[in-house]
Amino acid sequence: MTLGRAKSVLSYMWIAGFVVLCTIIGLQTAFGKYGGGEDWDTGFGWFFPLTIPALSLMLTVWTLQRTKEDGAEVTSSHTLAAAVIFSVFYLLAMLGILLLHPFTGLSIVTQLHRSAWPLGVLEGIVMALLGRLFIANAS
Amino acid sequence: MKTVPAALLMLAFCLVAGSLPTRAKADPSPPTVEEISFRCRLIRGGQDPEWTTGLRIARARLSEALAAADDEERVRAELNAIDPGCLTLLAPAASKHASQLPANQTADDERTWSARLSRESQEETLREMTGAAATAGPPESPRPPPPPAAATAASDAGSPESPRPPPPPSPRRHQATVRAGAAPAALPPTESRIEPFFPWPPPQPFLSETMTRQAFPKELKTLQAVSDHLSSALSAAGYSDFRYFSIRDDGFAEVTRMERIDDQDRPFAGASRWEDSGALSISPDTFSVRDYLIALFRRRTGTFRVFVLLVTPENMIPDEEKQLRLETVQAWQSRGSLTLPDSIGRRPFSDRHKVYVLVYEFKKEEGETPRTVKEGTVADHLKAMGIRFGKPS
Repeated sequence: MTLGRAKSVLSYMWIAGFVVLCTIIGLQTAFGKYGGGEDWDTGFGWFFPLTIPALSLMLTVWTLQRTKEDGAEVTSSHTLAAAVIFSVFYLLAMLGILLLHPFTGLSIVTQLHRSAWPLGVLEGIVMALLGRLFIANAS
Repeated sequence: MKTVPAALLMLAFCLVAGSLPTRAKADPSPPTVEEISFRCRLIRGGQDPEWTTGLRIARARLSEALAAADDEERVRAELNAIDPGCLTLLAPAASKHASQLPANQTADDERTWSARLSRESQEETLREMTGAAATAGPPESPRPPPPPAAATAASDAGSPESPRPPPPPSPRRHQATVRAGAAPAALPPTESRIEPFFPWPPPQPFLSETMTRQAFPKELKTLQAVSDHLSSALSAAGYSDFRYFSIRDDGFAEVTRMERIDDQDRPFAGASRWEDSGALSISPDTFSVRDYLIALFRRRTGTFRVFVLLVTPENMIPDEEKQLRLETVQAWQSRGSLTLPDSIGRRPFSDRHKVYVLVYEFKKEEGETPRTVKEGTVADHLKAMGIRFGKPS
């Protein structure tokens, strides 16, 4: 797989995940899922810090680096595979937390608070893999 | 002058926060009606995790006060004046002829009780009582538990095992005097004894319907028969796992599990009906896309219900100051007896007995504390469930 193709796969995956998650949280906020008081932005407060860093890293760096390396084969296929797998797992984990919430007894606010730090750790791993993929294929 | 009530409050706070175990071993002072009332409030408020032990201690203290008092009726009247429900709660011990327990057993009980009872619970109750005292009387009003002077006197008197010295004369009006060498008394726990219904009187708000003896078949001659009749009617509507409590020694309370109901007062189907914790989750057994989407995008809400059946000759006057809490309902399930003991079941179902059908309803919104509501009538709930008590029409 070429580096350009790998970038596209990861980018589309993240953009799709971002749009789906943002839509769910937007609808929840609009319908008052988080309450009308100070907690109204709890959903976005949970969502943006967990997605924007990785998404902006990919879009910014890869757009700037849209050069001759895009046509070259990916030199580190293991890193690419790990980045894709962890990205899928991460996005599905976020989606699962939202979609499975009706089956739990916890309030949505509590559930988002409790899931924030494990997802933060996972996000760190995903970003490390994305960064390594970029650096390994940059030269 | 403002420092006097503040000092009294601090004094009482220090005692409650730190001295109960010590006092249990060495306090020579007699129990006061305020202390007994304090214990009653802890028990009634559902703040006492060692409920059985706390009740036993409270009964022992009451018996001790009655045994020591020159005028038993005066102590009763004083206690009744500051805490009308306390005597009822401690009814089996409200006699100076109550059986005696060794002093060290009560002290052991109290050590266990104090260790388990959270400091916050004691402080909360104390604040409630001191607040009530501030509105009801002068700042000099005695505050439970007894002052530290008692503990100081105890340490001066010697080891906890040494005989109790005669108590110093006290100007406090409510102070009962303990006879030298008198052992604290309490009822020995027996396998046939069940816990009194709590809190008593029942807190608001609830829906109620009162049925007299005449509404029930004449064949029901004992309380056990009445219990069977009520259980049978409830079982037909899908209820099980009833919990029993005593009401004095000639009545009982029967409590159902908390169930989740819909807008028509009908219970949820399947396992999601029995939600003792008040959880709002949707059950995979009864999954519907509509319910799922509503739960996903909107705040989940739920209504929960508990039936409480009181069979007693007592004239029940609800406690308007207290609101039933979800924790109390959960405590009913964990502390109630599974069966009605013979000591109560053998009692006759007399013409004086009444059957109170109470319905407690909670509404809960996602992320919020459940609140009690009062909607509809008992008849609505019974009709929705197809329950009928009493004679067949």
